[in-house]
Amino acid sequence: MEIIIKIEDNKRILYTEAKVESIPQLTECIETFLDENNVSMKIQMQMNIVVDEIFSNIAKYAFDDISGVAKIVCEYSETNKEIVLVFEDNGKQYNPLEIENPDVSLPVEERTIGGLGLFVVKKIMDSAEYTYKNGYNIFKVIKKIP
Amino acid sequence: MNITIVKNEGKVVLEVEGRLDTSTSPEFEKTVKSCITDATELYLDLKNLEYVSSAGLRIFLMAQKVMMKKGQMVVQNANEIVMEIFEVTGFVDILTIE
Repeated sequence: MEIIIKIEDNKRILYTEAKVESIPQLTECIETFLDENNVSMKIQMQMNIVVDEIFSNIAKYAFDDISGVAKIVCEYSETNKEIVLVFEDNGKQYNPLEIENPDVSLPVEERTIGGLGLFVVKKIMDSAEYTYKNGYNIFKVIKKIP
Repeated sequence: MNITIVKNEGKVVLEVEGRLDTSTSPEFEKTVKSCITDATELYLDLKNLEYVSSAGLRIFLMAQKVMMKKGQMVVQNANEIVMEIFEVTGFVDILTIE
């Protein structure tokens, strides 16, 4: 999978095909960037989970059978003590925040996995915001660093 | 991701190493499915598992549903990151965790 990496002071801008196969490279780039900024291993791993949940949704549902490109921005702010991840794609309009939270108290027989990924994202991150602009889905999530 | 399988009659131990996410879960699913057909006890040793996303949770849930009918499934040695995922998703209540 090809990945284009734009390096800016406190951020990495990544462009890659919206395919599940892009995930290992994507997480590696973000992990390296966070590691360079001395972000703890625990938060690095949590960001990998978040990237997997959000990007895999884009890869599976945004473009159906045609291929598309997604843009991912990872920004680290030492002053605000936060990590900002932004996912952009021009696939089908889709607001992940409209997905209902799963009932995590159900017994095993009644459990399904629907909605669990985005629920995990909301639990790990401190805020999430969705906008649809000029044909682009823009999903921004922020993690405060303790 | 690497998986080590130790079989002893009906008891199967799977040691999972690396990351269990959307890209690695198909392989894990295949391994779990092939192991649980004749298992009565399934142990998932997660000491070398770095993290799990919902793609991996889906397989834990599938295995739990199968194993509870014919024996048991036990999850062992999960790290802090994996445990937190089990906690926020309520998987602590549906899995047997040691």
